[in-house]
Amino acid sequence: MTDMRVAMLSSCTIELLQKPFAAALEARGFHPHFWIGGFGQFRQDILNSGSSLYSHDPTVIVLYMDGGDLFQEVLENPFAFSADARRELALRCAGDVAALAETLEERLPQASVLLNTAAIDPLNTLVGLEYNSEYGLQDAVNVYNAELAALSRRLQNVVIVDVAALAAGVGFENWRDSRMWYLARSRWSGQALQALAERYASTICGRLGRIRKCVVLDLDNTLWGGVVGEDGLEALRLGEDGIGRAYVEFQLELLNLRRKGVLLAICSKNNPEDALEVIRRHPAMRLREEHFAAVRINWEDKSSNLRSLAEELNIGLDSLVFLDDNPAERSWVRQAVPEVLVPDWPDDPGDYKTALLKLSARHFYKLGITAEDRQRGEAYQAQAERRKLATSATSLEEFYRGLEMRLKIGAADAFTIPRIAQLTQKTNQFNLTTRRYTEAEIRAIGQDPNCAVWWLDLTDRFGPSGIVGVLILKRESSDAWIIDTFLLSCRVMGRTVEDAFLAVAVREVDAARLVGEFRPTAKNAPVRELYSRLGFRLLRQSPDSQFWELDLAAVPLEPPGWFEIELVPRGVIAG
Amino acid sequence: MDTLVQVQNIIAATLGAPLARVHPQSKAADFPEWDSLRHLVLVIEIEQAFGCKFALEEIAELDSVEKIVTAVQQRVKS
Repeated sequence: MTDMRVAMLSSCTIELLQKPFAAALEARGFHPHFWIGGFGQFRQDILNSGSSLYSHDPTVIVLYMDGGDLFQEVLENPFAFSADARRELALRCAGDVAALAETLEERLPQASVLLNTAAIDPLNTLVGLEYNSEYGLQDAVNVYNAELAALSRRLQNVVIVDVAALAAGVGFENWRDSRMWYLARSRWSGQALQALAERYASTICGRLGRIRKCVVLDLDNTLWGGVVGEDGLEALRLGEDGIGRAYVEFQLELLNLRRKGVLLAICSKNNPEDALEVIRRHPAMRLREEHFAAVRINWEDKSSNLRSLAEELNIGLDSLVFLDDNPAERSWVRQAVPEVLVPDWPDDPGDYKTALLKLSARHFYKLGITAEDRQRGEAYQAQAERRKLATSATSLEEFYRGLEMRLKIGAADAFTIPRIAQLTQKTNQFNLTTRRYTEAEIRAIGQDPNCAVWWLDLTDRFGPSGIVGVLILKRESSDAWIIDTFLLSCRVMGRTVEDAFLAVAVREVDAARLVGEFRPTAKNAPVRELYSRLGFRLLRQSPDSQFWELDLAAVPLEPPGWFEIELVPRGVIAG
Repeated sequence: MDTLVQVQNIIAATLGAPLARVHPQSKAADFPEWDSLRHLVLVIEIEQAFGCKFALEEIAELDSVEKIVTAVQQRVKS
């Protein structure tokens, strides 16, 4: 519970607002401390620097100016006011409020001042005459409200609460309670007090940025009518007429939410192909794949999906709102992940848009749109693309397995020596030492009992590649071997082929210790970290070489599991 | 719930007073918290609880538990 000091001043009786306002603030995690101005004393309370308003030191100041009070004279006798006179009156009232707001900004620079738009009862004496004659009431109100908008742009501390729109939404007949006015000069019914309290509290949350950040959506019967896995794409209710239109308008409203900087995500129990097919190809979809910052379409439980969504988006669970047509799912998620807001959802898709707008007014209340808000959706999109390309163990493993790589590893023989020599002469990038050998030299090395020359042949899903790797090992001591040459054709780089090659060759020579030499060149930067990655440690280095060491008892080399490996028996090396 | 009991509960809650202080003979004068504004809040609460609406002249006269209960029962009956 955050303590919050609130001041309330008004042109009419405001006390009756305190109780519902306190309740609305408490429901949002605030513990309010109220200061209430005396009846009709708002000007004095603000202009008098010694007023207890200032010693209360509020962070929120509600200055409620009712249209009925501002325009009392015109309302009593509209026929006494010309258009100019009405305009002058409206500007004078607005100027008055502006001066009060400026004084508050000066004396309480940290406080937010909540001003309301004015409204008058649409049922008044000028029904018929308004717009058709020289008399008017609404034009004065409009001038005043337009001035408030300008004031809000001019003064940083001022926030305008559109009470006129709120009253119109509730309906003026429900807004006013004449008994309250006659008995206590209070301008509101019980319903109005509730609506006002809620709207002021939401405004404060919006001001403090205490709003939710992401809407997570179910798909079937939430974004479209029907169940794609059962009904098929063509039978879904999503289109320009009837119930399909209701879903379309719901999606359009979600798109607007996204434009305000709110993230959209999906959490649906479906086969991913079925669901993504609709999102990508259904002609009436307004939301497409790129609009969603994160997607979970699987058969797993929704609560764990929501947790992983929050983690992926790097936001708290208490920033999520989850919308699902299924009451059982809603109930489950509320229980399993109580930080996520799971509002009740209407049965009738015709009510989805309204439900979303009401939800938005409470939990996605925005007082401004920043450049960051506008770009947030795109930023998450770019990040999602990057994640798809980036190294993540599971997807890389799937990639390697998908290649269906079959390795043949064998010792050099008459048949393979030409190709081996050629590779030592040609290969530059994946080449740890760049030693160039002729066929004769390879033959000689191969015949040396303290040396081993290996070749590697690769076939994968796309066909054979032939011999693409060479490994030359030389015995350094009784149990240590040094890697004289280690190269791979650039065609097969980045597939962990080198891990398999080294692991198999080393087993065949029965080494206990392995020394890897790296001689840096302009072209072999790709293998600069290879020995480090394989678990070797640096022994010594000079400007043109590094020596790395691996204790095979401590760090055994294992070929990765996605290769099929065949060891070709040692052939006879023709002299 | 019995109308009397419900009215007593609402009065206690609205005034912020313990239920024990609100008995069938209680009247507005017994409670310093029961001022004119608090009275209006109480009327709104009663109206919401019983789904009725009192006339302007009646409101000021609802200054005791007994009168409120009688007024509610009359409204709910008709």
